[in-house]
Parts: sequence; structure tokens; C-alpha cells
Amino acid sequence: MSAVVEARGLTVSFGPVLAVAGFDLSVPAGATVALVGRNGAGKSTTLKVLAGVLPPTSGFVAVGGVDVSRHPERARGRTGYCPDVGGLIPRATPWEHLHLAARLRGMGPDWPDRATELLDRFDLLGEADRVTAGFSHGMGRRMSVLLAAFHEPEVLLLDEPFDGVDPLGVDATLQVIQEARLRGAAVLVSTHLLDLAVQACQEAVVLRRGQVVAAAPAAELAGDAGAERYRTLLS
Amino acid sequence: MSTATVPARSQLAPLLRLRLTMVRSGLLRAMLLVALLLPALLCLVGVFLVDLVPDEQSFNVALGTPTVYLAFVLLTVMAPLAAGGGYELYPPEQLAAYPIRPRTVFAGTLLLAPVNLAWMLNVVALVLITSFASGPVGWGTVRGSLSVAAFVAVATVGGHAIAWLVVGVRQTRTGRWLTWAAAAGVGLTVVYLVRFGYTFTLLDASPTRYALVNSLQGYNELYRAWATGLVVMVVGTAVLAWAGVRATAWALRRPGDHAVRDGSRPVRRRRSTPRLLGELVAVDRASIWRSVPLRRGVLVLLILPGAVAAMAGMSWQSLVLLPGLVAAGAGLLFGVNAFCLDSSGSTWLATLPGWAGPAFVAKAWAVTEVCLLAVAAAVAGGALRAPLPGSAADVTATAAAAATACALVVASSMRASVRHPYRADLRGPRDTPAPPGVMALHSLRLAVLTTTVGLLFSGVAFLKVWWLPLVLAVPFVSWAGLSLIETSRSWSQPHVRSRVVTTVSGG
Repeated sequence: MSAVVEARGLTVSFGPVLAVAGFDLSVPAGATVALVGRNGAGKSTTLKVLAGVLPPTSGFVAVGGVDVSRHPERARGRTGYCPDVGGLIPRATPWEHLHLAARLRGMGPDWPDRATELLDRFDLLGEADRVTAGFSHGMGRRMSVLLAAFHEPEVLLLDEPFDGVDPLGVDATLQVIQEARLRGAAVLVSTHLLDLAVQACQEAVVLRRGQVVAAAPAAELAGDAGAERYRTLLS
Repeated sequence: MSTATVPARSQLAPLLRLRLTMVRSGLLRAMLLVALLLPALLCLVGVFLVDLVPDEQSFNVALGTPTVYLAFVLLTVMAPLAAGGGYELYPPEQLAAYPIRPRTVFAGTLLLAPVNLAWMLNVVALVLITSFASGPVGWGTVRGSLSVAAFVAVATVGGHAIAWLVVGVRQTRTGRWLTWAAAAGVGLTVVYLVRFGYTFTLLDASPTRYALVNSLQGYNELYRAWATGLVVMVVGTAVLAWAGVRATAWALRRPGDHAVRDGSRPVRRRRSTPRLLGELVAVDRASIWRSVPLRRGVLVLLILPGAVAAMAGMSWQSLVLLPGLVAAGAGLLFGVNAFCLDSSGSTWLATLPGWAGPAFVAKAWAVTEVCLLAVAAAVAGGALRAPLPGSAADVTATAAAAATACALVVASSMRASVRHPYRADLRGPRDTPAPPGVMALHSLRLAVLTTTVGLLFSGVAFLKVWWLPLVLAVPFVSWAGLSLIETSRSWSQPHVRSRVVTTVSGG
């Protein structure tokens, strides 16, 4: 199966700091991959590059068959991204976020139906016209996941989507991931919550100091034995 | 582990040290040092320069000096009021986890009071005008300057104490209504006094004349009277500082309902605009209007300069200088870090296709809009009571100065926004778009730029050729346009845009 997300020799450095040290990654359509690892392993930086927020220092990165470095605009049209922190304009409402996203992504006239359905699913319908500056951390996370999934992208990139989210919000996020997988999207989830990573994804990629140290079915990291193996990989 | 109560002095020193350590660039540190030493240098050089001016006018200047002192008092009240108590060393949320005492907060805002171009220039003006009114330079000038320093201290501390009191009062809906009613009452009183010609009677009775008298007593070796006046001002400063700390503690203790006002209340959905750029501009307008410090700043800029210009009955020759100062103030509101309007939302926005180009135009438009509105309000206010213009050139010079100042401020602000972005939420009432030192440098840079423009067009107006100011504006506006295009090209570079987005979003 052809890869929807492809990275070859991906390297990102911030001055003397090497955040991502030249790794390869390939995610086919309909696959869900968890990026796990310690703080500073390069998970968020990798997702930022795939989302077109951060240009890679070197290497080749493509999403949906589009070279992110050469055609960043086209690449952005294929991805949906939930950043690890924030991700919301503080003084705009959820509805204004959705309205802007619909305009910039050229969504059809039925976008309000999709927006309402997602807001309801994430229990944010009652907050649709409140500015997001007043949101709790968990509400902000839910809204960011919602925005990433809104346009049903080919590639769904979720960075710490479960962080501080209540069980109902976690269920809604897991449902969004499952739906994306079923319609053939490639999903990458970066998280520190190993149990949820195993629950949400089929594959797991363990990063350490900007390099891939292991790639295996996510189920292999389940339970006490899996957690022990994961700890071994981190050290 | 137990902790002890730390004195405010012990809290302030490490906070200040960390703030200074965070200025990493050597050049920036040097520029900051120059900016902070500049007023002292200007006073020193200026005192000797004004000594060269023939002193036939010194009596007339002495008559007008209490009014200048009064203007300084107004500034020391208005500046911290407009900043919600005064500027802070750190945004409150960054210190939320520490037991920061109200005394530290109040002392911090006092410490940053001089990091304000208007404050600096007014202090220099006070020293120079008092020195000129006193007589030839000598040891008497030093004693007179000590009186000015004591007056500056009492006014600045008093202004901040009042500002914190008002912050406390405004924590509730009733309090906000009360302050608006008080402001309206003051405004109506001023209109009445101006309309019925009581302005000069009022200014002649200004208590600030005692400050000048004290300075003259020091100059003329009336030691007992001078020392008594000085002690009164020093004791007054101490009392006001005590009151200021109490007011700060009270204001910070009050729960307030700002969260209810600015976070929880639903807002009305606006209609879709036909163009994408219009959509982005609408989001930016909402970001400005829904931000407490920006909303208050815009209102102050729309009302205050025009009202002062109207009250003063400025001539058209003086009005030419006004647009530049107002445009600089508008740029400092958020323009020097325009992308901070999106704050943490920048990371998400940057993943939307087709956002980058229109986003730059929308931000530039938002800055332009605020500049133009503020300048138009100020000029309109001034024109209301200005005597008839001496020539058409006075009017065209004002219009050309306004257009030029706005264009230069927008170009300069957008360049700063792309080159030197900062993380800033602009959520709290005392939030600024950049750290205090950087704001001081921005204000110095914009003030020099716009004052030069004002002086240039003021000079051209004297030639009484109506079309000359308009022709002179063309190269300046064109240069600003080219600068904007250059900055826009820089913004279109992915690595530049990525740095801006990552910085303003704090990611």
C-alpha cells in the first residue's frame, strides 16, 4: 500500500540543538500510528514539520503525495493538525474558528452541519459563541482536536490530544481517530499516555533523542509487560 | 519545608535581575542603557543650553510653568490608569505560582514608570523650564532640580496609587459605571470651564505653583522654606507610597468579574464577508475589541488626544505635530508585535491553506485602521477649537503629516512584528505586546520617527504653498509602501514565518 505520510532522512535542528536526527517514517492510508517517547524526543517537532508549520532542516517529507517543502500550501490542504499547546485564537469563538477554517479550506455550504455535529459530539455546542480565552485546558484540547478533524483530512496529526481531557472528551477523540482510519486517512498521534496510545493506534513508533529506536504493533506495548518494554526503550 | 515572608525589596531584586538577564542581545542591552540614561543626559546638556537663551522671557515662562507641572500630574495619573495600574515586570500568570506581595507589584510598576517616553520627555521639560525660569546656572540650579525631582516622585507615586485604587473600584460592574460617570463628570466640567473662559483662572490657581515656588526658594538660597517644602514632598511621597501599596493589595484581593465579562459571555455571530481578507480582518478586529488592554488603549487614543487638543485650542501650526505622536501611540498598542493578536492560535492558523499572504495584509490593515482612526479623531478634536488656519498649507500640511506618520508607523511596526516577535496574550489589563525594555525602545524609535515627520511638515507649512506638503509626503509614503512589500517578502519565507508563529504561540 502506498504511503500517505512519508519522511526520509528528516532532520530538524534549532541552532546547535538537533531535535530530529534524520529518521525515516512511512504511514499508509488507513493506518493509525502513535509517536511515543520522552520529553524532547522530537515527537512534536516531527508533527510540526508534517503539518507545514516548521520547515525541515534537511530530508524529504511528503503528505498525501505532496512534497511539504516544495508545495506547503497544497500539503496543508491535506492535513488536519492539533498542536501540542494552545492552537486557538484567544479572543475568537469556536464558531469563528470553524467559520474561518471552512473559508480557508474551501468547504461546501453544508459546513455548519458538520460543525454543529462535531461541537455536539465534543460537548462544546453550548460554548460555540464564547471566546476561547475563557476555556479550561481540557476544553481547549477538545476544540483543537475538533478543528483538526473538521474537514476530514487525508492526514490527521494529533499532538497530545488527550492531555487534561475528561473521559467523555477522550471517547470523542478516539471516535474521531477511528472514523478517520475507516475512511482511509493516515493518523499520527503523539502522546505520553501509553494506554491511550495503545487503545487509539495500531502501530507505535518510539522516538529517543530525535531518532526512531523501535517500531512495532501498538498492542506489544500494552499491559505491564508492554510498559516495561517501553521503559527499556526509553532509557 | 517551611517558608518565611520575604520583604518586597528581596522579591523585587531577583525579579529585576532575571528580567535584565533575559535581554540576551548585547546591542539591545546597550540601547536600553542609552535609552534609560538619555533623560539625565538631556537634562544636563539642556540646562546649560537654555542658560544661553536671553532671559527676558524668564518671567513669562515662570508664569506658565505651573501649567506644565499640572500637565505632568495629569500624565502621571493617566499613564498608569491606561495601563490598568501600570506596567509590570512580568505578566501576572508567569508569577501566579509565587507568593508575590502587593508591595512588590506596586514597586515594580513604579520602577517601570520611567520606561515611558512621555514620562521621560516631560521630566526633561520640567527640569529645563524650571532652570530657565530660575536664572543663570549655578548651585541654585542643583537645589532647584532637587525640588523638581521631589515633585516628580510625589506625582508619579500618587498617580500610581490613584490608578491602583481605580483598578480596584473597576473590578465590579457598579465600580465600572462609577468610574465612567466620574470620567464623564470631569469631561463635562472641563467643557464648561473652557466654554465659559475659566481656563486661565483655574490654571493660575493650580496647586502645582507651590512646587515651582519651592524650586525658586532653593535657587534663591531661602534654605528654611526650601527644606520645609522638600520635606513635605518627601513625606507626601512616603504617605502616597503606603496608600499605593494598600490600594494595590485591595485591588489584587478583589475577586472581580472580568472573567465573566470577557470570557464567559457569548458573543453575537457576525455575518460572513464575501472576501477571505475581510474574514481575517474581522477576526483581528474582534481580537482587538475583545482584549481589555487593547480596547482601553483604543478608547484612550480616540478620546484623549482630541479632547486635550480641543481644550488647549491648539493652532494649526501645532496641530501638524499631533498626528505623528498619536500614530506612534497607536503603533505601540499592538502594532509592534501584530501577530500576537493570534497568540497560541498561530500554530493552527499556519496549517490552514492560503492563510499566510492574506494574514500579513490583514494585520497591516488592522494596524493602519487603528492609526488612521486615532489620528483622525485627534485632528478632528483639535480642529474643533483651533483658530482659522493661516493658509491652506496649514491644512494640507496636517493631512500630509497624518498620512506620512501613519504610513511610516505601519511599515515600521510590521517590520518589527516580523523581525522581533514576542509571546504576548494581551489578556490581562496590564499586558503589553512586548517586554517593558523592548517597549521603551519601540516608543523611542517611533517617537523620533514621527516627531521628525511632524517638525518637517510644520516647517514646510510656514512656506504657505498648499501643494508642497502633499508632494513632500509622496516619497515618504512610497518608502513606507516599499518597506511593507519587503517585510511581506520576508514573511513569505517559510523559516521566517515559522519563527514568528512559534514565538507568538509560545510553542
